[in-house]
Amino acid sequence: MDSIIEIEDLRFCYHADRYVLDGISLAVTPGESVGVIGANGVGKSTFLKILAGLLPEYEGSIRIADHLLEKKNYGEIRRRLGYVFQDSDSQLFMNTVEEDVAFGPLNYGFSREEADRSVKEALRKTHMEGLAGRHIYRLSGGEKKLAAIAGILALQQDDGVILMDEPSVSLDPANRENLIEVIRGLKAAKLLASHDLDFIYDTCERTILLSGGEVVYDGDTKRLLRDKTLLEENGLRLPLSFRFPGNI
Amino acid sequence: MAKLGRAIREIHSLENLAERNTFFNRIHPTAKVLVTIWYLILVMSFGKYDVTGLFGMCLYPLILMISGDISIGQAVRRLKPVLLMVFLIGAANPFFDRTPVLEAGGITVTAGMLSMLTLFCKTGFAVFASYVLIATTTMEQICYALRRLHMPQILVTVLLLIYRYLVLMLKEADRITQAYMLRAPGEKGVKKSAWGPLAGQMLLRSMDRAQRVYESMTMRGFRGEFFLRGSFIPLRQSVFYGVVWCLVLAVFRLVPVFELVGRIFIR
Repeated sequence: MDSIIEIEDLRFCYHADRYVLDGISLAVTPGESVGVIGANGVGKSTFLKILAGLLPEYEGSIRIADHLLEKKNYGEIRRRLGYVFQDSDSQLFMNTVEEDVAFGPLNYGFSREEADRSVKEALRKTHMEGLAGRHIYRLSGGEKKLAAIAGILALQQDDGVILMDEPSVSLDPANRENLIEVIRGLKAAKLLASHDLDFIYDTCERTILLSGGEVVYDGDTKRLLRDKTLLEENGLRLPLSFRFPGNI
Repeated sequence: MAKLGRAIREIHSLENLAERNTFFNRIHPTAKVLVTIWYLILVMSFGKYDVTGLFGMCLYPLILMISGDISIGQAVRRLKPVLLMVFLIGAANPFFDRTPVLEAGGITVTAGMLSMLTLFCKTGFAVFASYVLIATTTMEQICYALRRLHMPQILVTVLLLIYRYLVLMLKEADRITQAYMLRAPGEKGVKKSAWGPLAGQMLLRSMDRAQRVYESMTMRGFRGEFFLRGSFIPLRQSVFYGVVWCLVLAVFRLVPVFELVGRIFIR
């Protein structure tokens, strides 16, 4: 199967003396759900930002949806790639949910009718139909997260890519469960960077573990999250789900 | 801290006003912006001492506020700082310009008094007219209208971003002062030694947040264009509204209507 994301020898540094990402190569197939985990400061958010084109000074080669990731292709790539920020407040800037979700489609030349259809569909996928007219500042944390995702989905087709940075942060258990259900229902390829290993377990069949700028594991999520030694060697701990085996 | 929270709530409250479904809210934003600009030009074009002619211009914001169900008291409360600043500036005029102009009821009216009154009226009317525009039109609609009127894209984008970032900065300031107050419970206000670090942090965090907002906008295809959403009255009615008000305001500018009406009663 052709990959939707192909990364070859990705290297990136903020300061000349230390590479945050040092030789990452991987591929993601359409529809695949990939977790990105690692200790604090290991470069998870940096990795996603590079894929979103927000950090263009990288070395190596990145292809997304058959387009080389470079400035002249950003428009085309971003038409197919959505990025959900860790801080939803930064992502939502229009007055109401409906207006914010419609922002992307209108900018990409959708007619008003097409934009309205996209908005309705995106709100349906995120169970936000009843909040279309709600002011952004009146939303709860979980609702903001879902509104941010809806804003991405309004542009996305099923053959796109969604990047999420710490999607489960600040969510109460009910909203967390709702978000897991939404993510499981998305057909686009997904990369989820998160400290919440239980969340990764619930949403991603494949996980990569970053450490020291490199990928130290790339494979089955369950096998990784049961490997106490590997996790602890790389600054992580067993997820709660695996600390109490009777609960699984 | 409470003041910052209040300022944020006021901005949200204005946004709510602009999104109501009243007749004036549903007039096409281009018509409203055009009439407001025309009004501001006419008001500013009055001479320094032309008070009687200027009084007639008060009708535009007054009629719109009354018929648009916009609270005048609330408007005065919100615009108090601006009106106070104008008062302080204009209050110096009578001291610098003492040329007597007329006697009225035993009081010598000087040119300085007239110019002070003119300044108050001009600024007050201009500010209230702008307030009416903001209370009936969202910022995105105003930016859309300005682009339709061929205002340079860069200026309109800067206007929109200033508005968006203003709220961000207020929220950051609110968060920082809350955090300060929670760790300095016995103090009233912020210590002088903390002003510098707090202001610096607020600036850095606001810039950081603004950068993320901008990234979020560009990630969703923003290229400085604005789109109109919402339901509006038929375009013909908006055009009629614009043309009628422009003509009426022009008449009030060229003809001293209040003076003429006054002459009917005083013969």
